[in-house]
Amino acid sequence: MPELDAFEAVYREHFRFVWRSLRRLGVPESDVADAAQDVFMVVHRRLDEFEGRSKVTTWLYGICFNVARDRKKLAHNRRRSDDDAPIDDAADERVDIAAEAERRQGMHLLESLLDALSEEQRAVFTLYELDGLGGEAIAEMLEIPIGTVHSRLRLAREAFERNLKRFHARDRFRLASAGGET
Amino acid sequence: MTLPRRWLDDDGASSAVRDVLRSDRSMDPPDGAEDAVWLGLAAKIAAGAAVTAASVGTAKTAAAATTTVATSTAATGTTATAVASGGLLKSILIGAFGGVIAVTGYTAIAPSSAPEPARAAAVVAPPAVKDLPVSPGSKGVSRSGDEVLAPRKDEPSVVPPSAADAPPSSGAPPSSTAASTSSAAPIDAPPASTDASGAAAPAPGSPEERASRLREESDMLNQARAALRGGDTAGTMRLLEQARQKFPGGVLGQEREALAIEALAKSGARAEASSRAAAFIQAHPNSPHAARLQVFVQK
Repeated sequence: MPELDAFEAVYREHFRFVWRSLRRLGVPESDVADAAQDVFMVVHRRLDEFEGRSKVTTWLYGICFNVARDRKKLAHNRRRSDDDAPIDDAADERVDIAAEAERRQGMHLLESLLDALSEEQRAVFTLYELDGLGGEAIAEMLEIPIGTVHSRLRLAREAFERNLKRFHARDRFRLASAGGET
Repeated sequence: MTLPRRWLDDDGASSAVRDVLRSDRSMDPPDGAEDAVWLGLAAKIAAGAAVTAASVGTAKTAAAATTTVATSTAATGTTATAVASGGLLKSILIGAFGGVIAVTGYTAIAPSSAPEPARAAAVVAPPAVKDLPVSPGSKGVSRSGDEVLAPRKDEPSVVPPSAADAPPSSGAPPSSTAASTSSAAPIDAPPASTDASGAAAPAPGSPEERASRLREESDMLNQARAALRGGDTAGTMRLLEQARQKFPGGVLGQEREALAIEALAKSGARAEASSRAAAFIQAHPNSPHAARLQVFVQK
């Protein structure tokens, strides 16, 4: 077992990274605290063996990727995350509902667009577009050739734009009750 | 070969794309999440360490673990005194559960609802206030509250798989489960007493025995929570009832009751959720759960 100090140092430094990575890899808001705990339980178990063979973030991201994938399998037949936020309906008298709804709306749109990508494309896409990593760094983190980074990013972007257009087309159709283009 | 410009840095990219990408700010951890998850983690590690330490014959690890927990509990401004005075693991676990439960999905509650526990307020502070996505208004995604909510119904069409994931149980009326729960109360059921029979089994009441029971109890509650998050309120109530039978005076009784109240409310049994929440708050006014259970109490 690692010293708790060493473990806590890793935790404090990378908690935010782990949380965001899990979210971007598809762990819903309602599950992410549990998932983050799972990730750091693995870290705690394996910190002694880690010994800096790669960058900490590379190691952590790999764990996040696996945890997110396992949870997705488990949650396969669960409801969408906005439905399982348990007491939204009971609590909403106390919340700025419109602002909260708008925030959730944007977030859910982003989530569903990301959900439509394969896990591999999603990882490349979010690391590049949202985390601002460079191609080399992504290749290293995911242990894939740089050419694969390029091709996955291209495919992910195409799918993302296509699905977003489709979403807005439907949206316009619904709001204006006029024929939207497809 | 060079990658294309990042969409967020590229003025030429469509504003629809850039708007939706900016929503990723909502994926940051809310205030208090870091400490809350740490508490849960430290409790798990401490429970594991307590068992190891006891069986190996050294209490060092456990002591180290609990010290850290106490420190970080103090840092979050919660039940430091409770932790310091006896019932260590118990307080830790309750604090941890309170924190984690509060974080998971409760970001929507406004802090104004929590006058008393500082931690609850911190945990609960809505990230929306800080990082409001400025965007989608212009794109016709959202103009008023009604329209904001309306498109969501159709939204899954963007993602084929989620259509198949449609909630099976939203209309299920588990209030019958609830009724049977509250009426049937087999208090005398002595379930786990066989533990003491094995030669190698830890002595009842010993620290390692307590730790392993705690872990088992918390596993059961975790399953119940997972069922609740999955929308299975009837399954939640069933699991909670099993936990209650197995651990009638369980250390995590408050957590169990809080989950039950949540499940009742979610299943539509608002009246019962309300009366049990009120009873809970009266019995445990200083519980980390009291503030958030307040929302279930009907005026």
